[in-house]
Amino acid sequence: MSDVFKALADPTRREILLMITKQPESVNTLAERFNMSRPAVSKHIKILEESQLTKIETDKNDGRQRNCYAQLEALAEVNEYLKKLEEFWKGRLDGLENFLRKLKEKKK
Amino acid sequence: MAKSIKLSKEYDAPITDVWMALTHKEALSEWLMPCNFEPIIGFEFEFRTKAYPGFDGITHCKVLEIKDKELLSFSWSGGSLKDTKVTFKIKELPNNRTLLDFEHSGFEGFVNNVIVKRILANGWKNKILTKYLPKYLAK
Repeated sequence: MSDVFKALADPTRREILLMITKQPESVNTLAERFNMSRPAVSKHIKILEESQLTKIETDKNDGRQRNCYAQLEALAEVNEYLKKLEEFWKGRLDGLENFLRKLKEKKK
Repeated sequence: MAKSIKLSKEYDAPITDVWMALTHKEALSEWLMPCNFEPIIGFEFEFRTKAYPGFDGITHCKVLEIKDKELLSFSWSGGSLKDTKVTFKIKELPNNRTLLDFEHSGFEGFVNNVIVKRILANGWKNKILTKYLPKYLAK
C-alpha cells in the first residue's frame, strides 16, 4: 500500500483513475486522451496497478488490446451514495408532479 | 459508474406552471425542500432538511444559470458533496404538457475524496495524514 499516496498524488493519474471509474478504457485510448505516448501512459498505469487502484485485463475480443479497469471495491461507497441520491431525486420529481396537480386543481 | 444522475419526466402541466414551480421559493420549498431561493444569477441560498450523522441538513447552493422557461441550474454543496451542479431543463410539449430533463453532475471531487478516505482507512501512518495529505488536498 505504500505506493498508493504516490499513485494519487499525481494529477494525471487521478484523472486517469477518474476516467476509468466511468468506464474501462484501453491503454491506447488513454494515451490519446491524455496526449501522451503509450509508454508514458503505461508507466502511470503501472503505478496505479501497483497501488491496487486499477487492474489490467486483455480484451476478450481483441487479444492485442489491454483494458484498464478501476478497482470498484474501493468505490462501492461512491456507487451506494449515488444510488441513494438518485432515489432522492426521483422522489422529489414525483413530488413535483403532485405539486403541479394540486396547482391545476386550485385553478379550476 | 455514472458520471452524473440524469432523469427525464413528463408533466401534465403547462410550461409556465413548471417554471413557476422551479423558480418560486414557496413552490420549491413545498416539493423539494424548505429553502430561501431567489431567481437571481449568483444568489446564494440554502435548502434545509433533517440532519443525520455526517450531514448537518443544510445544502448550500448558488444560482448559476437562468433562462426564462427553459433552464435553471445551481451549485449544490452539502454532506459529502462539494460544488456539484443541479440542472433543470424544460421544454414545451403539445397538449399543455412539459418535459423536464434533470441532471445532477460534478461528482469527480466526491469520488476523489472517497478514494483518499479509503486509502487512509487502510492504515496510513500519522505522518502522511499530518504532513502529506494537507499538501495534496490543497492542490
